[in-house]
Amino acid sequence: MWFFERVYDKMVDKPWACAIDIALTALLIYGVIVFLRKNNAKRLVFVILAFLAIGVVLSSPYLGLTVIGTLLKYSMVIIIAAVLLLFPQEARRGLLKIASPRDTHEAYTTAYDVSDEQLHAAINDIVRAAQNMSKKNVGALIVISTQNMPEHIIDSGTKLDAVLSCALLESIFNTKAPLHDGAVFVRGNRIVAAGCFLPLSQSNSIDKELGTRHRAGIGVSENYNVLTIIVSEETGVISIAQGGELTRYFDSQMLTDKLEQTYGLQATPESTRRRKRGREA
Amino acid sequence: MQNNKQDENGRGKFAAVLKKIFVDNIGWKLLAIVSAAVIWTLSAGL
Repeated sequence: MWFFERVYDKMVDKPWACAIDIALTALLIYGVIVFLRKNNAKRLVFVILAFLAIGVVLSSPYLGLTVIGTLLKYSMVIIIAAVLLLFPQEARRGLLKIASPRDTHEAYTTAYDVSDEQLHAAINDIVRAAQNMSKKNVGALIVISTQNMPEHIIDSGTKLDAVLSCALLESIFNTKAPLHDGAVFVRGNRIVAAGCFLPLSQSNSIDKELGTRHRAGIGVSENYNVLTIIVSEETGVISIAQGGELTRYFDSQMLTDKLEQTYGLQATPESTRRRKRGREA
Repeated sequence: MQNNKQDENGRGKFAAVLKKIFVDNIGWKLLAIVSAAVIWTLSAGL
C-alpha cells in the first residue's frame, strides 16, 4: 500500500511535473522504438523496455542492492552504448543529419574559386556524360563531394585535380581505361580523383537486383554528406544516392535540376528556356 | 475561388499532420506512453 501512497503523493504534489516527466520519457522511448524498427530490430524494443523497468526496480534504495543498483542506474548509458555498437552506420547517419545544415545547398558552398557559370558548365558536362554513358550501358559512379571530402577514400584512388569535362568523364569510365573501376570524386568544376574505392552499404533493404556499384554509391552517401550519381552497366538507368537513399530513373532534366539544387544555383536563362521548350513540346 | 482552394489545401495539410500524430503507428505510440507511465510509477513508488 505504501507503494501506491507514495505514487499518489507525488502526483498530487506536482501534477504538471509528473505529466511532463511521463510525456518526455514516452517521447524518448518512442524515438528509440522508431530507430530500432527502421533497423529491423523490433524485438530489441521489448528487451530494452524490460531492461529499463527492471533497472528502475533493482536500483531502488529500499531493496538495498547497492552494486547492481548503481550499475542499472546508469542503464541508459549502457543502452545507448549498446545501440551505437550494434548500429554504428545508422547512428553515424543520424548524428550527421543533426550536424549537417538543413539546406543541402549550404553544404555545397561555392567556396571553390569557381563562378556560377563555370558550375553550370560543369553540371551540363556531368549530365551529358551520364546520358552518353547511359545510352552505351557504360557503368559509372560519380561522387559530388563537399569541402569535408573523405580523405582516406580519395587516397585509395588516383588524384587528378583536372578540370571536369564530358570527354574526360567518359574517358575515365571507358572499360578499357585503368581508372574505370571505382568512383570519380568531383568538387566544384574539378575532378579530384578517380578509381576510388567506396565503402559498401550493409543495408538489407536494397533491391537484390542492384549490384555492387549501387551499393557503393549508397554506402558512401550513408556515411558522408555527398551526392552520388550511378549509371547502371546492365540497364543504363541513372540513379542518385543521397543520405543513404537511392532514387532511380533520372532523366537529363531531373539530373540537371538535382545538381543545380544541390549546388544551390539559380536556374540560368538557358536552362529555363530549355525547360520551357521541353514543356511546349 | 482561389481562397477556397487555399483553405482546402491548408485543411488538408492540418489533417495530414493530425493523422501523422494521432493515427500513424498508434500501437507503438501507445506502447511508448504505457511504458513511460509504468517506469515512472515504479520510479515514484520505490
